[in-house]
Amino acid sequence: MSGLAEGVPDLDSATGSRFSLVSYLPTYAAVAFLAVLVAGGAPGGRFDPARAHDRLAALGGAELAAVVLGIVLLAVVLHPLQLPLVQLLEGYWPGPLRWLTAAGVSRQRTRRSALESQADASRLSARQRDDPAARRAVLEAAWRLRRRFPPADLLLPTALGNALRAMEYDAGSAYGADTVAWWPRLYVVLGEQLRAVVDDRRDQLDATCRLGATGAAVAVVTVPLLWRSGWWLAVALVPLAVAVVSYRAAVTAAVAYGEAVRTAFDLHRFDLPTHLHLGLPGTPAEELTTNRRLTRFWLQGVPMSDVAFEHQPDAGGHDH
Amino acid sequence: MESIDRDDLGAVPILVSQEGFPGELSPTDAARARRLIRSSDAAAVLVAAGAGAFWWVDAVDQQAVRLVGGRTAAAKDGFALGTGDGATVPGVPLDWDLLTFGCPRGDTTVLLARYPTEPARCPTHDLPLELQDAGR
Repeated sequence: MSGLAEGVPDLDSATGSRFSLVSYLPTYAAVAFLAVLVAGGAPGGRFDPARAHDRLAALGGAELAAVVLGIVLLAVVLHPLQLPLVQLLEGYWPGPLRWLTAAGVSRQRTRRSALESQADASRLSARQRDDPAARRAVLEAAWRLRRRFPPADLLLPTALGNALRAMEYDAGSAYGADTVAWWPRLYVVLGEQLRAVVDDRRDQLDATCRLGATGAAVAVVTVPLLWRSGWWLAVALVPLAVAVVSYRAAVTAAVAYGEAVRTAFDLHRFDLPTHLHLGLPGTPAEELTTNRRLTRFWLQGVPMSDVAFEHQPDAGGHDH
Repeated sequence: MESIDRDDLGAVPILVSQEGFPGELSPTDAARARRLIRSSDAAAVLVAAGAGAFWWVDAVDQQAVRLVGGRTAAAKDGFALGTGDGATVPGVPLDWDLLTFGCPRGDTTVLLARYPTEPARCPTHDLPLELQDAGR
């Protein structure tokens, strides 16, 4: 057991890089958990914790190095699957699961409607209109509605999907900028401080998503492993609980990430026309028109043939 | 034991120990380090004593230090695995619609998802179809 613990990097380096936080640690936790079960006699016989301890403590240096290398390789292979994993948890499911998508969307629609009705100030009675608590409840419901749900016709079947879609719908829409089209370009011109905030919140989102999915997978694998181990089967509830708690944390992290992306649009949207050598808009209406044209150019290839560039010479006399 | 970040070392020379017990600073290494200080602008020298041990040697003193940090070149430049993941949001575009092309002289309209490389032509008037609301 102490041998396996040697595979964990120190806390600073473990949480310092995105790869460690999102890919390595959840993979390591899953492998360590399953290794304990297998070393304890699962699935052939009844699980024995003392046997697990003895077998793991007897592992040699070469064996441990092989295990750690295997975990790192597995984490590297799984890392590019992080984006599809988040999309899966969001509710982008394949055609054969159309029925499940419809059921999920229906459930989300019910939740959204309940929140929408709480956010409807016209439903307040004459007495409630003068009640500060009732007025505050309406405002809070409206706040949660905007951050957790997109418009009804854009709903996805999961809470995570809707929290992210709410951000994708309205982060840049007030400025005529489609969030998904603009984000890869806007991200690279963000200031250092805001980039750190965005990255941190994205890491939290991805880490909780990965931990949730890993927990669910480990719970599924644990059941057949401990099927013949009597009450030890209840151990499968541990990774299941991790999965449930992590998913809920992922929804909260998605809301926080959405806030950071909205902030990025509010503060840095003018940096993009500047980097593109386009003139800055003089009014909100001009901004809306220019940004919509950029969106259509990036998404659908509609040319911006009548646009004039503005090149600013730098101190060295070079245009940039 | 004092910690020194690899990234903060700057121009401090590093001298690799060539004798003595690994991890310990031998009198010969200390003397070599001070000769190096006298012959250069350096205020101190870091001696790599082996076994992961380092000694900070200046003109009058010497102490064991812990060398920490030191990101890889890739990580330092922002290209460690996963660094660029934040540049993509996981969803699909929402603020767009099919493009409507119409004949300037008739009521022929065509819907397209993407602006065509070769403009579609009106079958009646044989004119290139024009994008509606092009200035949107």
